[in-house]
Amino acid sequence: MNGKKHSSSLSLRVLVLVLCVLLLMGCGGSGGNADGKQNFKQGFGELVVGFLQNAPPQSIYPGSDFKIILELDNQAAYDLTNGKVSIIGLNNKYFEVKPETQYFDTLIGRSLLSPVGEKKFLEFAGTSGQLFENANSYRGNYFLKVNYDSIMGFSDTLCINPRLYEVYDSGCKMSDQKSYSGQGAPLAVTDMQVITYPIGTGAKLEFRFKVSNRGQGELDHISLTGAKLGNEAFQKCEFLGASLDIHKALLDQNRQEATLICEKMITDQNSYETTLSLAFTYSYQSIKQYTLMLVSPNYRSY
Amino acid sequence: MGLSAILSAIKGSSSGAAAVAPIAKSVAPGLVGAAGSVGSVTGAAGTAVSGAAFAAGGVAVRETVGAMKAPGVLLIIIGFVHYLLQINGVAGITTVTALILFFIAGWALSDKMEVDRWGVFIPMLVFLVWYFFFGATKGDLYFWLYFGGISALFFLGPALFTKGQSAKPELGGLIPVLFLFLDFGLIAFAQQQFDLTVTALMKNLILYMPWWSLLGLLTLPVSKGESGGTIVSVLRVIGIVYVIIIVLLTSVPAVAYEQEGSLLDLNQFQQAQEKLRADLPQTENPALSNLKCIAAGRFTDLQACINERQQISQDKVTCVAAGNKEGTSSYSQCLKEQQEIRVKGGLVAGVDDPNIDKPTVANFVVSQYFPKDIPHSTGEGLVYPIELNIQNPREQEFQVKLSCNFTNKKRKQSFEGEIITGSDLTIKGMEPKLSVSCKSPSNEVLNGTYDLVYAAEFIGLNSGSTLERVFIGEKTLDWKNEWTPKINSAHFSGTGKTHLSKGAKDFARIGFGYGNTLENPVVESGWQILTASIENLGSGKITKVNNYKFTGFEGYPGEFIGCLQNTPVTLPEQKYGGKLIYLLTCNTDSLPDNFANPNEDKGYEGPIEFVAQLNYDYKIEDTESITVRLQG
Repeated sequence: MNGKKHSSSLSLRVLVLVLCVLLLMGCGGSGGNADGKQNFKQGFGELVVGFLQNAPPQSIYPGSDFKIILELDNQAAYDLTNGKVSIIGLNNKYFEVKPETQYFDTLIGRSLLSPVGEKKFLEFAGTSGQLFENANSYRGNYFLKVNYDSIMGFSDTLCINPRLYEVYDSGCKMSDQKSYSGQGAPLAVTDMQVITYPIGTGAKLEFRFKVSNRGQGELDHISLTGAKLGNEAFQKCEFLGASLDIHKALLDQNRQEATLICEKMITDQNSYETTLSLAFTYSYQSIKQYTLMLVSPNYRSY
Repeated sequence: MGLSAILSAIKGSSSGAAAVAPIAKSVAPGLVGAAGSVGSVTGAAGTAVSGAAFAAGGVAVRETVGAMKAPGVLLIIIGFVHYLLQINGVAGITTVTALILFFIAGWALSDKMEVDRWGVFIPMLVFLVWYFFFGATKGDLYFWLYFGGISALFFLGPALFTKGQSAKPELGGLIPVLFLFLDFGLIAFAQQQFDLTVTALMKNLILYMPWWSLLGLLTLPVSKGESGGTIVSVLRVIGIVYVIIIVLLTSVPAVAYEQEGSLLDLNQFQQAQEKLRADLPQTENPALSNLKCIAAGRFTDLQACINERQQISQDKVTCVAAGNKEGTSSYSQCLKEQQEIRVKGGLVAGVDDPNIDKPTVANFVVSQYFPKDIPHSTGEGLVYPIELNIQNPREQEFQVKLSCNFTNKKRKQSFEGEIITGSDLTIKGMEPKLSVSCKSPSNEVLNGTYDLVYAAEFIGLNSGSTLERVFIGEKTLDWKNEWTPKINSAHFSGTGKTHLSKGAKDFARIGFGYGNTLENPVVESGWQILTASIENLGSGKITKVNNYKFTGFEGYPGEFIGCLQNTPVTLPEQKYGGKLIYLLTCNTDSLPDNFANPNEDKGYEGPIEFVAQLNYDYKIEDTESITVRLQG
């Protein structure tokens, strides 16, 4: 009898334990989803361009047809738009490729609905010419140029403390400088600095953001499309050194970084936590060199 | 050793400067005497002057006789005469003068090293015995045991009696042996044997270095005020300046090559040297150019002045070689044209296409059964077979004209032989091998040693070369800064000079350059220049340029295309000024539309390939030395 009692109590305990585990797992799962949504917007994901196997083949015989098939894989957390892919620098006497340029409208970025990002294939049809005299081979180097536009969003929760000299403020602690490891795009806010100037009962906050290219390609320009502290827009936001349009930074090969300065007056007396968000659009270009090999069928390289 | 000797010679020259003082002292009394006479008795002036002249003359004679006692001075003077004979092609006597200099060198070295003269002569004599009595044989083990053993007795004997003191002079005896080889053309021989690139230093050493005089310079005694010291010092200074100009001003790394193989016939050395001297561009001696530029007061642009003089002297040789007599109007016109060629763009050489490993070439091959030295009863109608190997990888169809010629080496008489295997042939295959048999004419009796020259003239050979260029139109500086390195890296990098025209290493081809400047492969809108030359890449001679053609320039302005049209090419009588023959220079400031305005998406047009085709005749020769000994 005692044994039976003991057995049912053990079963109950096991049941409770299993339920607790299930409950914990369930909670974890729910939290994971929420975090997963955020996780896409970390790091420096970008468009990855690759070739389908044997397209083009390693060596091409004279007077033959071949294909170049590109796989475009959007690993960024944002959609890519106005895409253009061009093949540049092939000597048409040896390799003729048609079309030389192809376009894509949108390539959807990674998200909860599309966790691996969208892939697209572009096909270029090629024809090879004849080798010069009795040459064994011809090496045709070319560039694959990919251009696209995209967006990037940055957000963080900050502590704002206008009373710098208030020792006994029991609120949050404000940090002067923070570093970031990317927002899921080649364009990234990598560093933020906050400078507080006490004015009257409030303060003026100056935010200095370092916006950099952390991808494999080149940034052409960055435009700021939105900047808010809490629910309010910044009073002033401009790229350092910008000339005509203060919200736009024009970049070049040697300068792939811009500094954005935003200002906000606050009248609050006590420290408080709030969100900061920035939105950007940018144009991106990637140029990579590849090779096509035209080889005589009689040639053996050892 | 050479460096330390040069250093000691330089050191000697500084002490030699002090040696000028005695001559001033010895001349001074005569002058003072003469001046005194002039001051006191006017009528005795003539006597005084003649006395002074006599005193000066006596000093000069004493100096000369004193200087001649130094074997180094003899070596310098006779060595220079020997060099002059050599460069003027007086070949017969130079072997004798070289041997005389060889012994003087031994004498000079022993004096310089202050060692026993016979110690120096021992290795020299052993060398001469091996060279002349044993015919410079490579020998076998037995020979070297025997010869080496006896030679060792000569070396070790004195060493035993002198307790090793004789080792130094015996080693010194090897120096004249080295200089004998240098004089006979060791550098030229090495260049030919190992196909070394002829550097500026090598060229200067072959053309302008009197080796025995150099050894004389290194063995000059240090003057201690005795008679002849002034001449020795002056010679030393002149010699050092000359060596510095010839060797150091070329500013190239020293000749240092791995060598293997055996010591060979000195005749081969001499032949190699003569051939290379004939092939090298004959410019003014750089030492002379240097002196003339200094005399002209061109101190600030001395190097430019030397280069200028060298180029002008090369132009002169070119024009004389082209059959123009100095002082004639055609000669002046030729000089002007040569200068224009340089200003317009000069001679353009291409590079070997690394993708074409089989060029169209041919060569004569002598079999081991070739009757090089035969006894014969009549010496008539002798047949000499040789093989002509042709590499025709592009399977071109062309003609070959074969001929042969005998020249008696003693009497210098020549007569034609008969090719009995067919003298006019058509070639089609990829690697045809032809047997070429030359028969001596029936009316000539062969007796003695002859040069048998086989000749093959190839009619209608084709050779092509390509040149790639990229067109960018008009672009901003930013664009150029970004894209020019990318373009150069993708299309004009890699092994070799990929921005130059390239073609198979056939007997000949066209080398050409084109662009805003000839060597910039990225072409912008604006003036462009195209210069082309014919390159003779083989060891034979281009006998005719049948035609040439450029393709890829179809959309260019008519005037430019007209300039590229085939026109008759006058070939030089002989090879000179390197192996390039100037072909044409054309200019234009227009570009076809697609080159001037490349597609915006692409940014640039190209690489575009231009092709130059050459159709030519080429002649190769092979000389074999044959001997026929009549019997009975």
